[in-house]
Amino acid sequence: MLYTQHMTRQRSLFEIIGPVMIGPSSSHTAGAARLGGLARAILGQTPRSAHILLHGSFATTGRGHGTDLALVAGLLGYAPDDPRIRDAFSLAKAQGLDISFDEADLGEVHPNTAQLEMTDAEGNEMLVRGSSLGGGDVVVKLIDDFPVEITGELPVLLVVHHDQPGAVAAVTARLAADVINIAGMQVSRERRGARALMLIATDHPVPDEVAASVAAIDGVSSVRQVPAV
Amino acid sequence: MGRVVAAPTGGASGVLPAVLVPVARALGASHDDTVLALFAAAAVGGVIAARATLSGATGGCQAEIGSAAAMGAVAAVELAGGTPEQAGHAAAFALQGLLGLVCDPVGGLVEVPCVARNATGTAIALSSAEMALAGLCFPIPLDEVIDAMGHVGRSIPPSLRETALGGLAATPSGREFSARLAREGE
Repeated sequence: MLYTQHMTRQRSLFEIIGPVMIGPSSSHTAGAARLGGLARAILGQTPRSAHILLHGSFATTGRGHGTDLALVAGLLGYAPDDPRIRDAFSLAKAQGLDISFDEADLGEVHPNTAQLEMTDAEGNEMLVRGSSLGGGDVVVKLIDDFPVEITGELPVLLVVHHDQPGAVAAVTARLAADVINIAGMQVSRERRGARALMLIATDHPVPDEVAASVAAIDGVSSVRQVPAV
Repeated sequence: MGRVVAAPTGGASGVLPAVLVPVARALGASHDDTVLALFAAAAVGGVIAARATLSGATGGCQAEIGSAAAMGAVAAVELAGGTPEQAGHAAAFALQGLLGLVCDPVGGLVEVPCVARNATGTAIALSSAEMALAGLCFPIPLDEVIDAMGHVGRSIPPSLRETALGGLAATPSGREFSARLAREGE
């Protein structure tokens, strides 16, 4: 991605006039639905429970915009233009998804920020924090303790692995063998020799069998395919 | 919660259709011409998104209705057969006219004053297009007007950036409306 002094990323004109969405707000409704959808994809399933913290403008004006409904709709896998968004609470209840909300000051973050503390069907916990930047654009900035940058524009392969020499080379070699082009990549770790996270954005979704073979690489503990949303 | 097309945002999505539909009808523009006008509007919206912001929470209402008015002005110039230079001046006229506009939604809803401000933005879009088509030039180039909008947005206090804590939202009537909504919600 190319950055100059002024410009941030270039957007498709169909993102400027668009998306088609359930109103009223592209940042507080459509963006919230996309954030919920990304959190669901990062968890890898519909959560069993979600404790959602709303920060800044999400906390103060979220209810009027249906931010709470849209986040839950995203967790259920509904798209930002899905009319079921307005019934998200009752649909969540019917599907056994336990939801709670709190307002919180998350510090120096974007004014439209939500933190989703989720539990999956096996009892695993995962924290996803993201912001809605306006016009329906979103970014996930934190997964558990790992700082990340996931915008949902491109599919992303999330690889949790042990911090050891050759881990990145082994994974990227596996992708190269299947002619999968890497559009962007971030690596981070808890500390030297501990749990590490590789985040690989690709132009096309990584096929299931390739993801499975990445998961079989020595030192890799989990692989998740996060689709574009 | 009905289905809309964000243009450039949900809360500002009334301006473009309010400009395009009557202007296209009045000028007898074809469907294709109208689509091209939408592309021209989107292009300027894209520049605003890249240089500044389209988000009320980041830049206030000037970033939403201001941007929508600039896009509407561009669409009107394009439909009327104006030049790209005139479209740029039209966008600058519209954006400077709404520079500093705060985002202060009563009760946090996209209703008061947002609905009325879509009408305000439409009027400014049309007058800006008229000025540009009449040959008037705004002395500050559009890129710099957009940068100014971004800078102004960053200096607007958080209470006036879509938090419903200031402006019309904080008036006695605004608070009373908000309290009534909260009671009805329970």
